[in-house]
Amino acid sequence: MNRLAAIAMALVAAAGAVQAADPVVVSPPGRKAMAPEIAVAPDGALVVLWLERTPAGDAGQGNHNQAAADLWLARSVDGGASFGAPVRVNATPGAVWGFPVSKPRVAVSPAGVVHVFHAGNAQHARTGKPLVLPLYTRSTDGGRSFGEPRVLGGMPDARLGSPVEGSDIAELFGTLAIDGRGGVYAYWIDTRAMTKEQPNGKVWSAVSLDDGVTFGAEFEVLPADTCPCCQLTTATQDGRVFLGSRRVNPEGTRDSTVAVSIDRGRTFAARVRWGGTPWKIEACPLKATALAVDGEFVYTAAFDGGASPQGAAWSRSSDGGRSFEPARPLHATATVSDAPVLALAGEALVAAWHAKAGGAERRVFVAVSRDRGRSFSAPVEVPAPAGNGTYPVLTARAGGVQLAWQQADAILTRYLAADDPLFGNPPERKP
Amino acid sequence: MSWSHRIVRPLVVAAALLLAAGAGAQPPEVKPVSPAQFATELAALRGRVVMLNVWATWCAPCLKEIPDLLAVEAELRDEGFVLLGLSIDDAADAAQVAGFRQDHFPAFHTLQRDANDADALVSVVDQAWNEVVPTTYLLARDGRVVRRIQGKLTRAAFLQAAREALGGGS
Repeated sequence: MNRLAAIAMALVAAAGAVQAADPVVVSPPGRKAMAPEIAVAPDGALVVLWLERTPAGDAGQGNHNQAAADLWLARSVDGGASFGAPVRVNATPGAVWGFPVSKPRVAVSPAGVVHVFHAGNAQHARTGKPLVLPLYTRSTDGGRSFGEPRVLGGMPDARLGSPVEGSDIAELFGTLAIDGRGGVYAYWIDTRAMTKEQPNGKVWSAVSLDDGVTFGAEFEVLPADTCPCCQLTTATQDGRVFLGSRRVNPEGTRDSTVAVSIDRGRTFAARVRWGGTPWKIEACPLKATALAVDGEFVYTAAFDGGASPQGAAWSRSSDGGRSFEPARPLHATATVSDAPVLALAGEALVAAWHAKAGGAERRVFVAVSRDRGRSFSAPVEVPAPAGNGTYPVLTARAGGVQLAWQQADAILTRYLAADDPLFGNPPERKP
Repeated sequence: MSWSHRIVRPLVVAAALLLAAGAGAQPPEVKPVSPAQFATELAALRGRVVMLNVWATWCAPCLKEIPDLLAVEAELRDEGFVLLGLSIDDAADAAQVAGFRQDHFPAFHTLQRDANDADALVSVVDQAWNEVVPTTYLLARDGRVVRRIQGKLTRAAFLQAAREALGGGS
């Protein structure tokens, strides 16, 4: 190979390390993959995590839980252009409980430790009945292998006698974040206190301050007024921990809220309601509260169920989460839009969600805000093969965002620069 | 009374009571369905008002309302009203859903999704379903959706909605 060709190939490889305009399929063909999560390691490696239903007959050790699943992780060292063979995170097949709206979470700390938090199948020690417990595992070799999972919550003394009171589920719909200083913050919904008269969950937490080597004892964070089937979200910045949840109010509304901790998750200030329309409903909305934080700007995105029409919307706080502006729709013309997520790309704020717009299939859409969340660009569909595109996730990378989503039964990913032509109307550049 | 009368007569009486009750027959097995199969199942119910309940075993509000829906069905069955469940539990869990139904709501006739994507299934009746469970649809006798109810209502409210659908059915 002559020197010119080598240089040209190197330039192409370098470009690919930052931008990959076409989606890349992460999951192996022929699998039923769902519910992706993504994170970026300090060395630039991209980590993608997803769920797969455990093949019939493979679920281990007499597992008879609902939703037996496996957790897979793949790693890319070329900016998402290609991925290595996926590694199964759970040693025992079928040990994971989850689906796209109660999915595992992944984060990579500055030391390169890969942290994974998920709901896991277990059985009650006394009754043998199925339980779901909050499990944590970590990898110190970049995601090539994982340690034994640790149960962060206590084994519940569930009643397990009725389909509502003490049902088969206990501790789930969790989330995890790291703070870059060794802090690992895990939160989950605990349904032990649920009764027919009090059908709401509590939020419990366990915190590590040594990058996941050890965790303190679990403790209650929010009382029994939390939507028990709305996945929690969390984010950290500048020593603060932000917790997103849906509060069930006395009048029956289930509204997204944000709570802030300034003492590394030990205590939280009172929850603050986002700017969405109150949504009165006794149901499992299965709607999370997405978070992104940039200094005193706190951005949320969620399904605005009380609005007419309903749909994905965003709301902004410019005072550190003490108050939020009224929510506005991300995709007002869609038949239905849901599952919004947010990430910062430099000074731009990117939103992604899935929606039906002019067709029967759900597709993934994105929009960008270049005025600190005051407004968003028009929705743009992310080009992808035919089939339903659902449950997008975003993470900041290389000045832009890395997007991943479920496309039919596969996991896809692509990079979006803050001024990606996909967004249209790139910002004016000063000479 | 002979020994045979002592045994046979109660059996005959019991059988007659079951027949009279109408609900004595076990509902069909929990059947996994694709969207096309689901559409066929609904088409077979044309001529009756259908209360379609989208539920899941892990959804506490769903489990709270199912007894009320069964009571509504029992009250209105003779007027051409039928309750049909659609579980969105994972497609791989059909056997567990069947066991759960048998343990807790044995009279509940429910289908089960047979694909990774629950939205494709519910979209047979509602393209704008927002993935909330429970969602209950009332379908008129010609199969049209005439009402969507999200979340648990009281038994009286479900009964009223069902009566309105019966009265307005074509």
